[in-house]
Amino acid sequence: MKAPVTSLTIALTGQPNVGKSTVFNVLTGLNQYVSNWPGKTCEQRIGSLNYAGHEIQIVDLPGTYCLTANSIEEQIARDYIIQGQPDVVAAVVDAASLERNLYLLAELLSLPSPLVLGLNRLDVAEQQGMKVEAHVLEAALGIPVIAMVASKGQGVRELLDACVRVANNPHEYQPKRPEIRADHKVVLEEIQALIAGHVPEPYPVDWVAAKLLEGDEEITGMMQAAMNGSTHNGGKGSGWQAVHNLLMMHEDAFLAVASGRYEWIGRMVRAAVARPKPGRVTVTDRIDRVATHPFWGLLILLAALGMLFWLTYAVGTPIQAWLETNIVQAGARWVSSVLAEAPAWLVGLLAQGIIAGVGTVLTLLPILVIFFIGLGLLEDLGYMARAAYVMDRYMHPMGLHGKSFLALFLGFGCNVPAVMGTRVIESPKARLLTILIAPLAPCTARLSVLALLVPIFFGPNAWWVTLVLIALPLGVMMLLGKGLHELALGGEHHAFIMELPLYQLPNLTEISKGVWQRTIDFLQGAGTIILVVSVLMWGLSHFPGGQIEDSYLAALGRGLAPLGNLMGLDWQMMVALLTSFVRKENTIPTLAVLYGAGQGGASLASVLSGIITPAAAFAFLAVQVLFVPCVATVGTMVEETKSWRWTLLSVGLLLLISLTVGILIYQAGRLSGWGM
Amino acid sequence: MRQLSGGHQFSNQVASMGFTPGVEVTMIQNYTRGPLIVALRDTRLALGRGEAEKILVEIA
Repeated sequence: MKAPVTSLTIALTGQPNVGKSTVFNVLTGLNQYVSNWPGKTCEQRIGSLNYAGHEIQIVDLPGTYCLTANSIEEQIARDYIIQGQPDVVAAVVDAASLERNLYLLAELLSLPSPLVLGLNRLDVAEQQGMKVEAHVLEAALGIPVIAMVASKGQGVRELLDACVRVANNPHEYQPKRPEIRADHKVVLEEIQALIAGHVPEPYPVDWVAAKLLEGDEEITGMMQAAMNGSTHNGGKGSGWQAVHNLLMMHEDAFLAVASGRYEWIGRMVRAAVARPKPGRVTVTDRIDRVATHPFWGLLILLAALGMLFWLTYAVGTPIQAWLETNIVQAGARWVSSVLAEAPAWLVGLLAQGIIAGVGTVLTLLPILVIFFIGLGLLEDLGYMARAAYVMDRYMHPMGLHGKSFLALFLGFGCNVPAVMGTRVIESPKARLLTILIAPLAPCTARLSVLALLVPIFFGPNAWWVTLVLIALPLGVMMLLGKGLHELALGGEHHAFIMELPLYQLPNLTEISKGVWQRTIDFLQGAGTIILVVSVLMWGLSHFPGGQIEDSYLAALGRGLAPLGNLMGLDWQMMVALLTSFVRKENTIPTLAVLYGAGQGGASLASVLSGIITPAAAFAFLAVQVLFVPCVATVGTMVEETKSWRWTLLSVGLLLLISLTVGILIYQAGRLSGWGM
Repeated sequence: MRQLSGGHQFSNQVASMGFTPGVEVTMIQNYTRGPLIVALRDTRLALGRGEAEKILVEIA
């Protein structure tokens, strides 16, 4: 008998929507570490705990429906199990969707690691009138089956006990495995015979054979490479040729493999599950009649988003204002008074550089937290899938998904929650794409600049100029989205097939943990970047003279004046563009200072209208709405994409697009004589 | 369900979601445009129109 293990690694798997994250959170509490799987943009969560004298590490694998090579998540999951070789794999299933959830288990059973099944959401199944017997399932499957209601913390200890037991007693592990549909059994055996001896460690031979029949690209490539080197088949040609021929004759074998699995599942389920009489219309179906209706569904979605929006700002803005006055400004004043004797640059650095930087991060928090709570509620309710369903058909032409709409919609308030909101998008590519174009959503800060400047130059025409200035970034967003999708992100089109989970009452503890985690992530990642860059920008605008007019930033602005001239702008406006990088609202105060407005009674409006022509103003505003995102957004983008490369690509593209459009507008104005 | 047409990758994806020959599929919602909603094997799935066209069913 093996010596008892004192430390083990458990891999947590399961299909989406089974409550796997709840299980993970209950197991690990706050001892979680979130990063990315090496070299991928997929999130990795690892947690640890001490249980009954054992050091247990839990690796949360991405939720997948199966283990083909078709998506990054599936590859990550199966690579980890085969190569990472965890001691135990704990598969979580939803008792109310057993028939489909067991498909993943059917695949997992052909892999070497021992399995334990967590039969979760028994409470929901009961509500649906289904009775699921865990011990019957256990007898039928030959692996431990643990009854759980993770949302109430039930069954979790028993799950751990089972994992430890299985890890300590491997000889007791005797699972029943699914077989391929009868008509393909012979082919499978032939393939197994042909590849035996060529299969690289640590891949199991029978699993590889089944994958070859399935047409799995990664495994096919692997075996082809492994077998093309072999010549011991002599006259029969390379070993791979024989395998290849066999596979060509059975191209539709995947259906046989899938059918075999479902047949097996069917037998398991029939034994263990007692269903209610058919014809019961569930609450979910009743709600969905409206929620997924093409018209009403859309209305409900807009209403839901509108409410989220309104709530975030109705509650968040007052809190923001309070923080701004009582912490940020008070802090700055305090520093100035305490350090009255210190050199001006030090006071400035602390008060306007660091405290202002911290202030930016701090004042974003109320908005973000409220919005995380709202998102968390919608997700937990199950409504997210319906929202995605309603919007998907409008988003697909741009290479986006329905959930992208949610994130982008939030960008109208502020781009930071929009970028963070992309976490609800499952597909890493769609998520990346949404993040890259999110800064084009006109946020309230940009809108406030428009609100002030448009009337000055366009008087009675202000309304349609504003509309154009709002439509412009949206149009660019769609074009850029389409362009990036085709050119930079592979242009692949996943089949639109999406599960609509049952509605359920939100779990408030679960949501709170999620909100806390996301907030900490923000502070540690984006927050740091925002602080550092804010201080840097302050330095540029302060040194060497202590006044912005003599600063490095102003020098940069003067240097950019030739570029500005192409748009009818002078160096002061270029500096205003530069300061808008820190905060979009900075444009106005910067212009005021640089033009000396507010001194001697001359208001900014009158000063500007004397200096800038409407065409130039239009160009300037167009550049503003298309310009690079503010520091906070850039910081958040870096954090969410985990890549400076992609973030800088987006920033660079926006810079290019905004300046080009600005130049085009001004030159068009000059040539046509409009607005000059 | 009777048969799947369409490319290899499509059939694989769809088959692993539960569309195997002989499975019972119930139509839940079908407005002439936009994705449909069907139920099979205890789950509700939303399917795009293009995808639905590649899945041949026999009405029972």
